[in-house]
Amino acid sequence: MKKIVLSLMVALLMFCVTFVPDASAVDPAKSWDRHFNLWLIISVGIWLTVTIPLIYLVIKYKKKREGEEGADIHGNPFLEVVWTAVPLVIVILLGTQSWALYREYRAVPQGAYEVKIEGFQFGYEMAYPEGIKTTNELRVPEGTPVKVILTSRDVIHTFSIPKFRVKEDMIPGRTTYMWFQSGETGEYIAYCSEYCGTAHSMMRGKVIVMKKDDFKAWATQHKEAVASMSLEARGEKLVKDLGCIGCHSITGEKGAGASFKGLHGSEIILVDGRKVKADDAYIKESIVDPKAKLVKGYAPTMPPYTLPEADLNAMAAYLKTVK
Amino acid sequence: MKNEPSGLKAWLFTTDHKKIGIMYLGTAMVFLVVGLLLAILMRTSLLSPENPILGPKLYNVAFTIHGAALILFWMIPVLTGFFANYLIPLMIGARDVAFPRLNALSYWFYAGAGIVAVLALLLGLDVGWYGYPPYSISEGVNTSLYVFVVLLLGLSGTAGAVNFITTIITLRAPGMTWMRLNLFVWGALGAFIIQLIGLPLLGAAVIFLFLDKYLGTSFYNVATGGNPVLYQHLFWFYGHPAVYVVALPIFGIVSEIITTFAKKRVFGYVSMVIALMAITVIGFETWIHHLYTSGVVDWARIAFMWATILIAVPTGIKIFNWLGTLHKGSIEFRTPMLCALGFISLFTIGGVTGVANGLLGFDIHVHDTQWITAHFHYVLSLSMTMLALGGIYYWFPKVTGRMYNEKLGKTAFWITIAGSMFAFFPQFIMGIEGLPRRYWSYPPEYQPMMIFSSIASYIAIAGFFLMVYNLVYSAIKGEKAPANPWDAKSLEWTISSPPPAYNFAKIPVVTAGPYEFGKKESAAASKRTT
Repeated sequence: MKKIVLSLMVALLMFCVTFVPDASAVDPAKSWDRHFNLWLIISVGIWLTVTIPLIYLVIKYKKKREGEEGADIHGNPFLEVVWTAVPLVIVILLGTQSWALYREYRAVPQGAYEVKIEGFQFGYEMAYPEGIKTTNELRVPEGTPVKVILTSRDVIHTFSIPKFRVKEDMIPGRTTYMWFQSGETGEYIAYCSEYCGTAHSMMRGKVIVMKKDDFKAWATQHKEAVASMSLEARGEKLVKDLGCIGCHSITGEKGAGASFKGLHGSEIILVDGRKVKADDAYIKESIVDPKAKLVKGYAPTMPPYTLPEADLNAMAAYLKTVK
Repeated sequence: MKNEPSGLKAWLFTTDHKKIGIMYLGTAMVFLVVGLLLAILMRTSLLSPENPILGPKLYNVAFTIHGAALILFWMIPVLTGFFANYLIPLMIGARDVAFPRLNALSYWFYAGAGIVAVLALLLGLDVGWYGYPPYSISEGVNTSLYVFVVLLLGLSGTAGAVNFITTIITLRAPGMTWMRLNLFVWGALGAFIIQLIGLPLLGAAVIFLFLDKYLGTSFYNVATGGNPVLYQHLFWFYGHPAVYVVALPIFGIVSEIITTFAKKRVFGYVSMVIALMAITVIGFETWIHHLYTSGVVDWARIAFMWATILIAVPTGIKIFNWLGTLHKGSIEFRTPMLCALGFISLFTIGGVTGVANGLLGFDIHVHDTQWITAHFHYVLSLSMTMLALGGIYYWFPKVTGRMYNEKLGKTAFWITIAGSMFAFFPQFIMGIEGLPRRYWSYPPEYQPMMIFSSIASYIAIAGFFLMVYNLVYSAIKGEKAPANPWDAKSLEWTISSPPPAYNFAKIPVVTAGPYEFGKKESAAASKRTT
């Protein structure tokens, strides 16, 4: 018995040493899946090792007659050493594997494409090396390692892309980073996974992996496209990109904030009972300083937005069209 | 002893550890019900992916108070307030705790915190039970409510820790050596050591929140040079060991229940004690696993990974020793025993997924997703709340002098366990797919799993309510209980049910360990002879 246990432990340790992942594997997403499978097999094994004996024991040693007592056993030092040592070896095995995986997560390959992303309540602004910016949309070329440098404008957010198994917090006042292999073309979801306020759940972005040529073409065209947009269209893009409709519906439905439908030009009642007309000036003020003239029936949960005058004008122009 | 006040006064001004324990239990159960009601609201809201019934703001308030109510006002107080208060003096052969009036003060701080918490619910506190800045100090947030809840609980907990550590060290009856203590007392001792060391830091952390928000200091405020991640370190320095404040006494209770209903002494008593103390110590070196994605330096993330997953080893020892206790026992399936057996199997799921979260590389992908929600509900809801209720059933005859309804108890157990298994399992899958936690709105493809989870949660909660109902009803209408209905062997069962005022007319002299089964002469009987 002792020999069997000892040789099992030696076998496990050897597995531990030899099963170090291949150094040429440079996709953390794939390595994560392998790590998960290893963990899953071990964990199901552990669960069965506990549950099967548990069921067997409670059936076998069910009370047979009144006044019966169990055997007078204090313990068994050998068994106790076994069930200390075996879990220890398993823990070392898993820990070693996870450490190796973490090193992949942190070691950014040379020549990675670098994008800076700033989180805000409730969206993301991406800044590309080409000098362009997008909101809530991260576009990257296919088959390229991409490094994202993260920070935040207000509270703590997290940028996570489940497809690439990556995630790192966006912390105001400092930068953090993560990287992933962009792989094949496609469109993937990105979430904020650190609770950041009322519309946290709506703080979603997209990662669009494009063909290399398409990406180049998009990058050069992007600037012109934004410049040539109509005022209303630009406003609509801003309202959607900034995540406003997470709280302010455009359908008239009640949310955390007043609906945009028919808002522009209407007469509204403020919390202090005053009535004001929701004109351009009011709307612009309410974006910059939401608490200044709060609509009756709503909590002061909206964060202030610092935006250029041109953007405010575009948004006000767009709201005029939401009827 | 004769001029004890009666009626309401007997409760309000009491310094009796048993009455204070019962008040803790009553208050904690109120918060259990509040937490479960909020869970129903949230699960109902999640039936639809885009149009929650609660709305965004209220949903966020609901998960904040749900977490605070169940961790801070149910789990920790029911274990350190009710179980520890009621049982430690009885188990060590003392007439009361070392500082009875401090004990009452602890309860009233807790009750005060409870009132502020209800106020926070009504005023819409939405910072999460952990209150991370900068969000928790941003404009429009009732930071002060959060700070006062935590501070009052901190005072209550610290006073309790001082009191019970002193009690366990100084008030043990003659012959009650350290190696004759019930495992529950060891577990509680570990929990109170954690409370004593961890809570002051938590207090400091929230005081800094208050100063930053209202007096413009710059501990966490980035604009003036603060660091918001500092709060996360301070908070989880207590916040993670707080899990062991719950777990260690729970492990003790599992041992008590299994030994009694298997009619066999605890397998490997000494290794159980070492395991409990090892968890207490290592528990303090694990907090950074809550910050695996918070941009902490790499070496710290790696070092804390090793400490975190190392906890699995002492925990494993406990699980296998419980199996060892069942071996060659004489097992009786009462409600508490079902809870303990269910605990062993389900806690193992919570345990292996806990190791997954501790594994640094693994956690990067599942951090702050539904996977985490599933993991800690397997631990805190399925395993520990179930077991805490099992523990209440186990000592119910001692505390109330009445028996609970066995049939109803078993039915409720099976309903709860079936419901919660299915309520939380889909969340593992959604988490692996990357869906974050604390979401009132989610992509529509998750709706079927969400609906499945919600329906199962209704069943689970119905089971929990049935368990609570059984306790409340039986406390009033149950049959009279004998002093030792389970034929248990430890000291608290040697006195009448409910115990007399001041517990022991004569302080017992202890001549044997707590679980001396399998001997001809009952150990409990030998204890009474002096």
